[in-house]
Amino acid sequence: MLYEFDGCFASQNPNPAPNFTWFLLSDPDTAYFVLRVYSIAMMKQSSTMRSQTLAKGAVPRAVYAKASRPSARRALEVRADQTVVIGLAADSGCGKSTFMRRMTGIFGGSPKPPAGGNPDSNTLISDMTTVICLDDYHAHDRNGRKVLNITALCPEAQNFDLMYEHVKALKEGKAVDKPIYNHVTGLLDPAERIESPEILVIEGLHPFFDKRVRDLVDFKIYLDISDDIKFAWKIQRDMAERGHSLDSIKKSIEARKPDFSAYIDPQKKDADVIIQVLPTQLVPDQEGKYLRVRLIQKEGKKLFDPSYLFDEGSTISWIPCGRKLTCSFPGIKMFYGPDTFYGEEVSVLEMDGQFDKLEELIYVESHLSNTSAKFYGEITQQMLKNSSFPGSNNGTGLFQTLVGLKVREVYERIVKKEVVPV
Amino acid sequence: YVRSTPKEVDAQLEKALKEANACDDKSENCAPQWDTVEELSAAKAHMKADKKADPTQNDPLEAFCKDNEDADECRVYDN
Repeated sequence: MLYEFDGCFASQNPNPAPNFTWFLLSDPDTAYFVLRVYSIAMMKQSSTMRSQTLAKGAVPRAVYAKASRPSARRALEVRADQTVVIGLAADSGCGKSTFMRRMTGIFGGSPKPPAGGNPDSNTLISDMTTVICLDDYHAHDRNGRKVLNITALCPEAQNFDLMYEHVKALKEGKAVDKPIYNHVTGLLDPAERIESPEILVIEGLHPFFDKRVRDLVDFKIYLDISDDIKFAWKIQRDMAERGHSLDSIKKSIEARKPDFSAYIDPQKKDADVIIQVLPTQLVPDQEGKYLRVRLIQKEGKKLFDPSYLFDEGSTISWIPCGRKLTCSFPGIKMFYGPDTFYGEEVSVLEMDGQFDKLEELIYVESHLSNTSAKFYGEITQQMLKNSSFPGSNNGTGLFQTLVGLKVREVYERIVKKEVVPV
Repeated sequence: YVRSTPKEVDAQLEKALKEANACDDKSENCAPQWDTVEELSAAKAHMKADKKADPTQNDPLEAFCKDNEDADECRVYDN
């Protein structure tokens, strides 16, 4: 039997013309079946075929599902001839992994560790992005660092030559065999093979420390968490753990601080965008419950335009709560204005307080410009999708999502190709 | 290869905490010990977050449907 039906890719046009056709062939005897998708993109290249053998009488659920999801469409796109490299620097426990989840979510698909490899691998691979944890380039394992009496924050503990070689190779489209640092055992495990992705994200403590690596990164992000907030977050994270106490959390932060200030913190002056998380100024708050989050965006970069509030270049303080919007305690306060950061021109966008209803966020989003969103409400939609992540009701989630959209824009500008919003 | 279990992380973390607490920071550099504590705490938190984010781990129906796509409870039509 041969079934044929037409469909459309997502389109802004309410009545688009069909731009692809599915052919579904099924043979009742062998229960073998083929799905073919013909689209405009495929006129230029070979067809995509999915086939699977099914038990007799079973419904081809997976194929139905896949055929209508964006990930299936992406298979039709041409592989870009250039890998875009994104760098994310932050200390341990500053929300790197939450940020990664938000960012990769914008490109669709769920990132997974390499199939069939080391289950303790730190790498996450999805359709378009590969996230590499730079701890894999530790020059010494846990014991080695103890013998040398250095922390993982020290540059001596990193193998920057190998890091540079690998990032360069991946950017040029070559595959590499990357070591794995096992965070549980503290040992360096045998290498895993990493193929060159469309978007390579390197995250860790030292992505911009070495000039050779720094020059390879197309877009640099730094998560800057103030000491008070770091302390509050680590209490939330570790207080319930056996053996941990307030004292041990305090000591751990204090002991790592000199190395952090010497080697990690200075990297923020090279970043294109910095997300700063500070204690609120709205109410007295000891627990770090409410946050004041600043998005510092470098001016004059070719690959992205800073987002702004109301009027570009002005200095604006805005309290959205009032007649049009009812906020609960302690309310929301926005700020926008030009500033300098380590002697460079920047635009600062700031949000203090938290929202607990989504209307508040869409109201704020509708007054932001240059967000790199592809449709009205995209930021709010992304935040809704990931509402279980930490920071989803305050500026951290909002600005992380905004930076994720900027990453997409950077990618589009480099490869000169549109990404279909998911 | 076997995936490290939360139990193993706990054991390592307890050992690391003992070492770090025993270190006398007035006479020696204790940063590497505390760094190890931080590394293991972060690893544990990541494990928890991964488990929370995986619907097949905390939703009995999702767990069942992972292996039984054609069961009545699990079939999904996208048309």
